[in-house]
Amino acid sequence: MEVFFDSLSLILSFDKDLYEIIFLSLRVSLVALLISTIIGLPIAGILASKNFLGKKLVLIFFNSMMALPPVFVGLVLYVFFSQSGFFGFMNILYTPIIMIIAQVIIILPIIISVSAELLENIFHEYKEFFDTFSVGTLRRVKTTLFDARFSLITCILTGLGRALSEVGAIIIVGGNIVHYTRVMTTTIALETSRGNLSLAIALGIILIFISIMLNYIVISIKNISKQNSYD
Amino acid sequence: MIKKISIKNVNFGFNQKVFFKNLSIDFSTKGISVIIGPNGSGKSLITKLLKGIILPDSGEILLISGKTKPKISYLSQKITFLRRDVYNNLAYPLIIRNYRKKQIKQKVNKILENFNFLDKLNFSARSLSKGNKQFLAFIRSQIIKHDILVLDEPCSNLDFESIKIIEKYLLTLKKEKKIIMVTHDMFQAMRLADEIIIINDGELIEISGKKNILKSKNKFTKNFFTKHILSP
Repeated sequence: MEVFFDSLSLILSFDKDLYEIIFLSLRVSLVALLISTIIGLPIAGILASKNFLGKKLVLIFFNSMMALPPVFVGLVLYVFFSQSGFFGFMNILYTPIIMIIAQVIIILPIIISVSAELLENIFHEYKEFFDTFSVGTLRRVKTTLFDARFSLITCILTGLGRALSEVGAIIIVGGNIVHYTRVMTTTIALETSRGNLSLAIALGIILIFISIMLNYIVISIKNISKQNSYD
Repeated sequence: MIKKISIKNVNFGFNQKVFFKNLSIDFSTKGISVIIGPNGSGKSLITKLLKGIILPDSGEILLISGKTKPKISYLSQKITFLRRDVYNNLAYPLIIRNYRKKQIKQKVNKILENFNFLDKLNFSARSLSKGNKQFLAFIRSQIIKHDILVLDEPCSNLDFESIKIIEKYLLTLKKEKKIIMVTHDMFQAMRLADEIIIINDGELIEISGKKNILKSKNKFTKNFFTKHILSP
């Protein structure tokens, strides 16, 4: 019980180290999410709207990548970006940049796969309408993305949840360096092993709080979409 | 000025089923051509071939006017609306053709006013009643008037008043545009048609003026009309 009160005290006293870890976590995950969304949604749009040779293989690839173990992502990145690796000259191992790259690799397949399935349903429904008005491919993708916007936000937030809770990859590529690459999940892992449970629990509480907030946002968006999506 | 609307030696099939085998139809270039026939005879496929939504396996769809290929305004039997309000569903075909905002507003308001639908401007198109959806789909098919109008069952699910409005509109429009439509309503066919095209099982049975169709000696035509008009 004492540990729990210590944790609350850390949160409520706005402990500098604690909040530094929280903000770095949010920064890394949000940047990774933004990049994944910018890359992922157009790919999902094209996968949903175009039939091409090998489309099934591409979809199977992204679906399989959703189950990719983060530890393996971390390991592969480590091999490529360590000093002796192919991209070693970039010197980004143990920096927030490679943590972002790792999270992009983990959440991009989620955003592509889930969005592509959602967009394909809408696109299939709109196909004859698009043909009737001779709508071009780019416009078809834009229209489908726009009309699916509320549901897509839910997909994107799923990606954010995955990014924030990820630990395996970023602990390998980030190195868990204090004041530099230490984020919530890696700190929880470290402090638990050290026996410093109050900081670990404080971060756990914050993670749960963020998770609840994300769910609240998803539910709110669903309610707003019911009023504004004209569905 | 339309010079030719013709389906020439068209073969078409999918899922290992042959729908049209060497089908040829010469449509008249003026007035209203009404395609009738039993369910599954291929009426809707003909409209899709004309619009270019499906392509024939072989054969030609000939659409010839003066210098350019005539364009087709099309109303599908399958009605789809974007997840937007009535205004934006009507504005969409204009937006993609780069109309200016002011022009779009004017055109949408005018057409809704003409069809007495202006009160539904801000309604969600997808939550309208079945009949209103059909009526709105017809209005949308008229937002850009091309040289030829192809309509697949434009009056299904409509009430008598709405059918009257659409029929009156089509009878006026036929003076300047060519209209090809599919209907199941034989009485409507007789009210609107200048030319009746009877299709059965993917084959052209007969093309005739509406005055002569009831006097037809073709066995299928006689049976079809007896079934649908003479014995209610």
